[in-house]
Amino acid sequence: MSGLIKFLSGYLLSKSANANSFDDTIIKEYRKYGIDEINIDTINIDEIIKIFTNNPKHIIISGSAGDGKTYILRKIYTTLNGCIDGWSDNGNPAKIKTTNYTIVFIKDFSQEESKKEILNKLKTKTQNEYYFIAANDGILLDSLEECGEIGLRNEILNAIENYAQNDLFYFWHLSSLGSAFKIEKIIEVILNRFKKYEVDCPSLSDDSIFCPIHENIKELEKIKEQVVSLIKQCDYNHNFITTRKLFDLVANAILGVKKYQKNERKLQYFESCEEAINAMKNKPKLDACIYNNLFGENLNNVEDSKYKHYNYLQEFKIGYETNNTIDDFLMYGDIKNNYLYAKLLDNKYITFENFYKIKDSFFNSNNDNKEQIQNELFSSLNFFKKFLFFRKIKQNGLDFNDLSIYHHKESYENNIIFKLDKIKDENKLDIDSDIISELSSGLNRVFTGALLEASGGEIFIVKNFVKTNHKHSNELFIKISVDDLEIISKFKKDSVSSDYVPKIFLKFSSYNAELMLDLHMFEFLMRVANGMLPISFSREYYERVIGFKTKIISQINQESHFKNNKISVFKVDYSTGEDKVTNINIKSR
Amino acid sequence: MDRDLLSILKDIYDFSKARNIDGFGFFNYFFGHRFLDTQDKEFIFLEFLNICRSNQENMFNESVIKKLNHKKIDTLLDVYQIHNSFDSLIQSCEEDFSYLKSNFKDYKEFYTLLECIEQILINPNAKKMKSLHPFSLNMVFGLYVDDRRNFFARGGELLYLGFCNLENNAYKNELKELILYRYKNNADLRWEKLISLLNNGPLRDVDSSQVLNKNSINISGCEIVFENLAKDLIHLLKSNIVTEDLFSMISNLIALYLGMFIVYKSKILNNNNDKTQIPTEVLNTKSCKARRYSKDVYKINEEGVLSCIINIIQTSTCCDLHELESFIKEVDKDYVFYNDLNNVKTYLIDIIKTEYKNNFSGVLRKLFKDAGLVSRDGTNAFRYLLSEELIALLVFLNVDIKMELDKFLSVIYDKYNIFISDRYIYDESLKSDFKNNKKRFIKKLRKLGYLDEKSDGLLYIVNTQR
Repeated sequence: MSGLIKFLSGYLLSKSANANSFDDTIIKEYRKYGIDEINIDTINIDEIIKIFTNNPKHIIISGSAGDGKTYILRKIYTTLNGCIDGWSDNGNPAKIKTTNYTIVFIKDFSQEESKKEILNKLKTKTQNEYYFIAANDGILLDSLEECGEIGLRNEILNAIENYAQNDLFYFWHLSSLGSAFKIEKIIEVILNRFKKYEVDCPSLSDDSIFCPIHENIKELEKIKEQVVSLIKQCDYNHNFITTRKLFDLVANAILGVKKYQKNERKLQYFESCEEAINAMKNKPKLDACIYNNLFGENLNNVEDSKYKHYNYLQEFKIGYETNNTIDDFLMYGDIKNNYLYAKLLDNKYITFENFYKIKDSFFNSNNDNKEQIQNELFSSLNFFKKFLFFRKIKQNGLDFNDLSIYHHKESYENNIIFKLDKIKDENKLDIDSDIISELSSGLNRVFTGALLEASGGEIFIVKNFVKTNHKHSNELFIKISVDDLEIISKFKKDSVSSDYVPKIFLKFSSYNAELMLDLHMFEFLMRVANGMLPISFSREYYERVIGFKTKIISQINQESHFKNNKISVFKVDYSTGEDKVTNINIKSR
Repeated sequence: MDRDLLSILKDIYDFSKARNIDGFGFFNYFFGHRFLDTQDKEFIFLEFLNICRSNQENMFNESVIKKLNHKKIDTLLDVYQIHNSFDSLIQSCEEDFSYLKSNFKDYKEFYTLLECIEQILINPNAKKMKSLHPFSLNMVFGLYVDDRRNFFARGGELLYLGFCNLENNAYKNELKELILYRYKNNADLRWEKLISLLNNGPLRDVDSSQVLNKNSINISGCEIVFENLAKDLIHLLKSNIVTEDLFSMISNLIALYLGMFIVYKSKILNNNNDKTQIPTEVLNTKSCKARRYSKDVYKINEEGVLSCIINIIQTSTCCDLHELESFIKEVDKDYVFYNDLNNVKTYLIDIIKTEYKNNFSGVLRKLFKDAGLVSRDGTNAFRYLLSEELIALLVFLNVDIKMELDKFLSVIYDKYNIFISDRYIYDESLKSDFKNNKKRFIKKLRKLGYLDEKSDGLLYIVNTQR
């Protein structure tokens, strides 16, 4: 038996704390278990070296804890040095000396005691000594503020926010890199390693033995596309997950289990196949199922901030989001579509026999154990919904897109994300007029607080007589033509970086206002346009749209508006859904 | 040094007499002005503006109140719904509304307009206090200042006097400039014209006046309240918020600061130097200690108001018991001589308690409720939790673009004494509950869109209203 599973469990956040310089720990683990290193290169090391050799400057690699800053620095070191020797030198920074200059590697700036000294070096242009620094951007900026280095601080802030170049240093910011391409690589590597190292599990030769780890591996192979797609959707919402957490996510998906007693310790993961096979003999299979583990359902304290990535995935509400067709199919589909039922829902975790038993006892149960049976039925249905979603079922009226909250995900990708590559002039995206019209209808419904029919080519900036951000508004301020609504994006998307920031851009007289159009906002506006009440979907996004309206109103020069003699009252005729504006002219006396 | 009871009573009596209040007015005297628990925050603000208008030229230095003419918009609002034409409206009312006919295209237009006006009433359900939301300072001045002074809350006068007493002239001048600027440049003339149309005539002053004395309130020890309020008001008036939003924000702010003034003042009278605390909970369960703690502290704050005055009476001395009792007899004809100082004090304390019960007991609660410190989010009963409106206001006032969450929490503790997290709790048994309270607050902020979460766990509050 190889050490791969033990090694993989080292990535679990439930096992080890998120230590500083996790890279050092992981190198030791590789050596201990004799495993080849897993390389997830977020940026091209050779390119960094090339840029540096052409024009030497200090290098700052910044990002959050777990983004892989130290890893990248180590890679640069080994590439330049030829080997890893001298990298770990009892806390002294690693150095490379060439004939022309010395390079000093600061592995972890936050742990560094002589921060001020390093910052001093950083702001001076040298010819013979260069610093390569891995630093958390927050800590770096705070240290600069503490030391009073406001100039340098602004340079770095500018580099983070605007990707600005400068004379003193090169800057790479890892936090803004998308997570989707990283998880794709991680899954691929781990699956390959399993094929290579983990070949002697008894479950592989004997079908009657259930090894949850290998079962999860098999499932992961089938559903990896959907997992990557989910992480991609997190990226669309700017919920970036660090490399360290992605490793945890995959490791937990494979090894996770709900409360498992091992030698008087309660664990949430398995450390070997043998242990897993034995433990699962008297546990329901769902307890170690990848579909639950992916959402951190095996973890006790998933609310903890270190498990933020599970919360991002839970926000998709997979297993909870549903519609009538899906519910009918799951509960009664076997009457009409028995063949389909057996085909679509066949899985290793819940047998049909068992499911029918739960269903029967639910309908016939007495009051004593009703709650328990309810829970059992609920978790089975929850599992089936996840199963259908991850298996991308799309037939007979069943659509996996209805099983996550993002019903309009495909539309978002086709109409916004895929068009980011084709941005031509003024950062403007070429969007179908249908989409623009639906978005503006969503905006109108939030702005007015009324269920307006599709907009007739105009966006109503309406306020309440008493407050601008009131739910119901009926004083028409201005009308803006839908032609003045554009979708813009500051950066172009490339294969690695996810620096796309699609925004709704509204022009009016000499002003303009922007509203971030991430996937959630797109879904929000689309759903509202299709008749959903705004607050019932997302209060946060409702507030954002209302804030957008307030911004528009406060920008407009109100003086001229106040000086005319007209009050325009905006009303909706609920029998037809049409809007009506009554203009009242006030006569001066 | 403890004061002589007779001199205290004389001062109180003179103070009340000058304000046409019968008997003693203990609360009136010690808190500088009459407070009523019927005071709505909007009316406090309106009255404040009213006085500012009366003293346009010499704002915050000279204090005179001018009275303006009374309007008849209420009558219109009461009767318009039952009619379907101008003719029937004109016939049914005693007042002459025939001028309306020539000013509007048809009755429908007039009706739509009054419907709008009805939506913007402050206190729409009250009979006496019904009033219009001001669209510009100009309109406030014109509309609301009338001789029915009980229409307004006296808190506005206190506020004005508080600013008059400020030592820092820079604040006074800046505030004056900003109020006048908004008054002159940001006026929504349409509404003004409209109101004058409905009232059948332009707005005009009525020539009677009342002088307010700057020294009639003693704000020593509470200067910081008015100074901070001045700063916050300046901040709000300088921003580009629309007048409508400005009105609701300022009235919330004023209620918050007046509540703080009462708590501060009673602490000073009680010789209590502890920092004032206003704990708030965020939708906790009944068993949560944070919920109980906040309730207890509010109770302490409220009771402090009564106990401070009782303390003054109890610790006072007496040189001449007969003279004291004769004086009381002059004020209260039914008074029977006790010949015992303790009995006299008990008699006075009974008066204070009755006065408190009748007028003052609900004031602090009302102000805090108005400010949004007490709200009923998520439940039917009022609880000590920050309303969404107040959170929005605090973020707007204190966060420029973005600020770390912990810094924000310490700012609102220093400035407004409001605390949410466990940081300012020294009782270990409460710590964990207040930690959870902070977590709930974070959730709430996220819901309201004010939270920016960094992947390394740093939390920032973002001002989305700019």
